[in-house]
Amino acid sequence: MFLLWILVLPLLPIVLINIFNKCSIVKKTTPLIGSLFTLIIILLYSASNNLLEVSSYFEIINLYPIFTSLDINMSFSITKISVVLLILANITITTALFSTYKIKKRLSQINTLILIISIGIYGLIIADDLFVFFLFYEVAVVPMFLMITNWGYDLKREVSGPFKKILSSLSVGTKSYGAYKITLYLLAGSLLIFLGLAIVGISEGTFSINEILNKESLNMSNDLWLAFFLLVLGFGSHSALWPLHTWAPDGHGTAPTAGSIIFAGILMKIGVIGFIKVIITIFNTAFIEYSSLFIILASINIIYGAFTAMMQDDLKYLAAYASLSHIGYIFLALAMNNETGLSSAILQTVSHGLIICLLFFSVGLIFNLKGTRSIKELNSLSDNSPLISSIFIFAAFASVGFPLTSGFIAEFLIISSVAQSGNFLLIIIPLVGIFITTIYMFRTVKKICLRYVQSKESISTISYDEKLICFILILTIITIGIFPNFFLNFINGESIKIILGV
Amino acid sequence: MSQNIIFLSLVPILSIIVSRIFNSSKTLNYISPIIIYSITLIALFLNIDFSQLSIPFLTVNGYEINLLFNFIQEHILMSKVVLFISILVLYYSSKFVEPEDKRAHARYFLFLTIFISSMFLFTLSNDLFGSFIFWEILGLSSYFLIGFWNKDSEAIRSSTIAFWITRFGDLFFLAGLILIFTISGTLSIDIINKEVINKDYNINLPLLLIIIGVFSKSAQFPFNIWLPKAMKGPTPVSSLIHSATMVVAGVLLLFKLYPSISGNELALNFLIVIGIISSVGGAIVAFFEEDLKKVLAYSTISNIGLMFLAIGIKKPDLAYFHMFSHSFFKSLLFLYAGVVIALMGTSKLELLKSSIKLKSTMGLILIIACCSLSSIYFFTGSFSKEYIVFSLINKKLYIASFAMLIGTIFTCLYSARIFFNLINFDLSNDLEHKINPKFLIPLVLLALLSLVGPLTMGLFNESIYIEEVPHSVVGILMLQTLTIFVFYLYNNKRFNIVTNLNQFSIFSSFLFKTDSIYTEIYEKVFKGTSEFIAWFDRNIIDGLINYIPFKIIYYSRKLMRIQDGQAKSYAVRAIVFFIVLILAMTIIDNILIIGELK
Repeated sequence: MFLLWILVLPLLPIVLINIFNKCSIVKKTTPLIGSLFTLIIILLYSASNNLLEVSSYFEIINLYPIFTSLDINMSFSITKISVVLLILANITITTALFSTYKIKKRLSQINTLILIISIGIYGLIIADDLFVFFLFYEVAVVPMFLMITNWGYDLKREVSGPFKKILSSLSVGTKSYGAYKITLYLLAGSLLIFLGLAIVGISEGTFSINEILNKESLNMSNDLWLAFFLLVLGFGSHSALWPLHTWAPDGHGTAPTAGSIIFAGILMKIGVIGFIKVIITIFNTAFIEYSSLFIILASINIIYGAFTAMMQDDLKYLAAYASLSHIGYIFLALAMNNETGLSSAILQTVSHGLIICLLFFSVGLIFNLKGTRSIKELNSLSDNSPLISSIFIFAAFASVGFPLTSGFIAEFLIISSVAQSGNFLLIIIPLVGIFITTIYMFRTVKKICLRYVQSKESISTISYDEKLICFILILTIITIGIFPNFFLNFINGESIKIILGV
Repeated sequence: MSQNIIFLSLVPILSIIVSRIFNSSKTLNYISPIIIYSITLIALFLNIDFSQLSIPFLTVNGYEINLLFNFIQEHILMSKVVLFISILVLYYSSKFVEPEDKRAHARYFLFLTIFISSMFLFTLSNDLFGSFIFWEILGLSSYFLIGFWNKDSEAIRSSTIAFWITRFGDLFFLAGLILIFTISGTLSIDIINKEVINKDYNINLPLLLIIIGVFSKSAQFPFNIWLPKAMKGPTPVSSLIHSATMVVAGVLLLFKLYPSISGNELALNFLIVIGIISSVGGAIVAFFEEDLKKVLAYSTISNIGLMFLAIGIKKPDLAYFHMFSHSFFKSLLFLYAGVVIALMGTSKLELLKSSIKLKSTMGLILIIACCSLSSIYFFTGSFSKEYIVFSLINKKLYIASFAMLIGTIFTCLYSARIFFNLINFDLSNDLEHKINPKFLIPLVLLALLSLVGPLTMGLFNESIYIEEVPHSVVGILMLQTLTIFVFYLYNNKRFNIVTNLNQFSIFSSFLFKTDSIYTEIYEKVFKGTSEFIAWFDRNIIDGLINYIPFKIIYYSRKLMRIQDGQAKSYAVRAIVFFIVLILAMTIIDNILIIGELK
C-alpha cells in the first residue's frame, strides 16, 4: 500500500525547486534525493513483502471510484514485474536528472518536467484500471513537448524522393517539428489505445485489467477484434514497432539528453509493458493467432533498424535506430509465447533500458564537450577524453550483446526461446541483427573514439556526479550480466503465471 | 583449491586497475601479473589434486547452465603452456612498451592480463557456455591490443576488421551452442560427448556451426584475411595472441569436443578440406610475402590448418601435440622478429638483409627457430608435423597428401627465405648485438624448448597417449633430404626463385587473399543496403506518415481563406448560413414528425 507514495513523492521536490529557484544546490540535489527516496520506498516495499522469497506476488489497491456508473476506479496492481520496471524507471529518471547538470537555462523547470514525467511513468507501471493507465500515459507524454521546444536542438535534415515537397514544407529536423511530431504521434497512439481500452472496458463491464483476466475466457467478438487491432497499433506506435517508428529518431534527435534518456529508457518500453500487460494477458488467443505477424514485424525491426543505424551521421539518430533494433528482439521474444521468451523479453526491456541510458548519456557528454554529435566531425576521443570514450565503448560492447553484460544474457535467452519454439531457421534473424549491430557500433567506435587526428586539445575529464551515474549504470549492467540467475529467479514465477494465464 | 586458483588468475586484472586508480608506477603493471601467474603456474606443476569446479550461472526453462572447470591433465598441460609463454611475453613486453606513456602502458597490460586470464580459464573450461564467454573475451582483448597504437590509422582499421570477422564466427558458435542446448538441455562437454556417443540425439548441424566459428577465430580459409592484418599490433601481442594461444584455442575446443565430432563424417571432411586449403595456401602465400611478420602470420595459418587436418583424419592427439610444439617455436619466432624489427626499424624482408650475424646468440637462435619452423628432424616442430603427414599418407588420401607435399616444400622455402635473408655469413666481425636482457632471456628459454624435441614426447606419454604412426626411416630421411635440398637451392638461386614463381604467386594470392571479396561484401551488401534503407526510411516511410499532417495543414490553410476580413462577404455568408440552417431544421423537423406519426 505504501508503495503509492512514490506517486506523490516527486511533488515535494517540484515544490522545493520552484520555490528556491535561485539556489543552485537545491535545484540540483533535491530531485536526486527525491528519486533516491523513491528507490528506498520501492526496496522497502519489496523487502516488507518478501518479494525475493515468494515465487509470485500480487497486490491490488483500490483507492476510490472515479465513475461508479462505468465501474472505473483509481486502482493499482503491483506484481514483481512492475517492481522490476519501477526500479528501471527510477534509474532512468535519475540518469535523466544527472544529465541536466550542465544545463544553465531554467534548470528548475526542466527538472520539474522530468519529475512530472516520472509521476506519469510510475503510475503507468502500476496502474490496474485501463482508464488510470491512459490517464498516467498523458501525464508522461505531454511534458515532453515542452521539454523539446524549450531545450531541444535544431537539426538539418536533407530530403529527397517523391515526398520531398511534403517533408520540406513541414521543415523537418527543427525542434518544433520534432516536438509536434513526437507529441502528436504519441497522442494519436494513445487515442487508439484509449478507444481500444474503452471497447474492452465497456464490453466486459469492467475496466480493471485484473478482473478482465479473472473472467473465464474472452469471447472474441467483432468489437473485441477491433479493440485488439487498435491496441496493437497504439502500443506498437509507442514502442516504435515498424512502420510506426518514425517519431523515434526525430524525437530523440531534437530532444535534450534528458528527454532522449527518458524516452529510450522507459517511455518506449511502456508500449512493451502495454503489450505484456494488456495484449498478451487479455488477448492471449488473438495474440497467438497473429504471432506470425508479430514475428515478421519484429524481424523487420531488428534488421531494418540495424541497417538504418549504420548510415546515420548523428550519434543520437544512431542510438535511436539502435534502440529500434533492440526493441525488435523484445517483440520477437514475446511472439514466441513461451516462458523463456517472456522472461527474456522483460530482461531485454530492462537491459536495453540501462544500456540505452548509458549510450545517450555518453552521447550527451560528447556533445557537451565537443559541441557536435556528427560522427564525421568527431575523432580521437580516446586520446583527448579517455573516460568518455571508455564509457561509449562500454556501451557499444553492451549493446552488441557481449558476454558479462546484461545484453548477452538477454540475447542468449531470446535466441534460446526462438530455438525452443522449434523455429530453428528463425534464429538467423537475431544473429544477423547482432552482427549488423557489431558492424555499425564498432564502425562508430573506430571513427569517433579511435581515429586519431593531431590537435592541441588537452585531456579532458568528466565531473564526479557524471562519473557516479555512469558507474552505477555500468555496475548494474555488469551485475545482471554476471549474476543473471538472481534477476531471472525474480521474474520467472510471474512470467509462468502470465503464460499459463492464471 | 580449485576455486582459489580460478580467483587467483583474476587477481592480475584487479591489480592493474587498482594501480591505475592510485596512479602508481609503471613497474607495478607487469611485476604483479608476472608474480601471480608464476604462482599459478607453480601451483599447477605441484600436481595438487584439483577437483572439478561447477559454478551455477543461468537457469533456462528449468535446465541449468553451469560454468565447469575441469582440471584433467589434457587441460592443465595447455594451461601450463599458456601461462609459461604469457610470463615470458609479459617480461618481454615490460621492455617493449616502456616508451609509452603511463595511460597507454596500463591499458596495454590491462588487456594483456585480461587476455591471459581468460585464455587460462578457457583451457580449463569444460562447458560450452563458459568457453563461449572466454572465447569472446579473447576477441575483445585482441581487438584492443591490435589497435593499441591508434595513431596509426591502419592499426585501428585492422583491429576493427579482425573484430568483425571473429565476431561473425562467434555468432556461428553462439548459434551452435544454443541449438545444442535446445536439443540436449545441457552444455557440459563431457555429458554431450557421452550422450552423442550413445546416439541419444543428433547434433551434426550445431557442431558444423561451431566448427565454422572456430575457423573464423583461427583465421582459416576463407576467414584468413584478418590475421595478417592483425600484425599491425605490438609484436609481443602477435607472439602471444596471434600465434601461440588465441588462434589455436579453437583446436583445443575441437579436441575437447572430439568424441562428438568423431562420428560426424561431414564435419570431419569439412575439417580436412579447410585444413588442407589453409595449410597449403598459407604456406604458399607466406613465401611471397614481403613483410617478416606477415610471413609468420601466414605460417601460423598454415600450421593451424595442419592441426585441423589432424582432427579431420581422426588424430586429435596429434593436433594437440602440434598445437603444443607450435606454441613454442612460433612465439619464439615472433619475439625474435620483434627484436629484429626493433634493431633495424623495419619489418620489410628486403630491408632486413644480412642483419643478424651468424656467430652470435641471435644467430644461433635464428638457426634453431628456422629449423623448427621447417620441421627439420629433432627440433620440436618436427615430430608432430611428421606424424600428421604420415598419418595422412596412411589414410590413402592421395590428393591431400600431394597437396601436403607442396605445402611442406613451401614451408621449407619460406623458412629458408627468412633464414637466408636475415643471416650474415660474415664471420670476421664478431661484435655481439646489443640486445636488452629483457628481450634475450625469453628468446633463449624458448629456443631451448624448441631444441628439446624428443623430450616433449616423453612429457606427452603421461597425459595424452600419442599413437605411434607407422612410418619408415626412409620416409623421414627423404623428407629431411628434401628440406635440406630446398634450403640449398634457395641459397644458390635466391634471386631467381621468387621471380620465377611469380605467376604462381599471383594465382595463389588470388585464391587465398580474399580481401577484395570482403571489401566488396562490405561496400555493396552492407553499405549499399543500409544506404538504401536509411534513405527509404527517412524519405518514403517518413514521407508517407507526414502525409496526414501535411493534408490537414493544407486544408486548414484553405479554410482560413474564407476569413478574408471583408464585412460584405461575412454578411453574405451569415445569411446563407441561416437560410441553410432553417431549411435543414425544417427537414429534420418534418422527418421527426413523420416518424412520430408513424
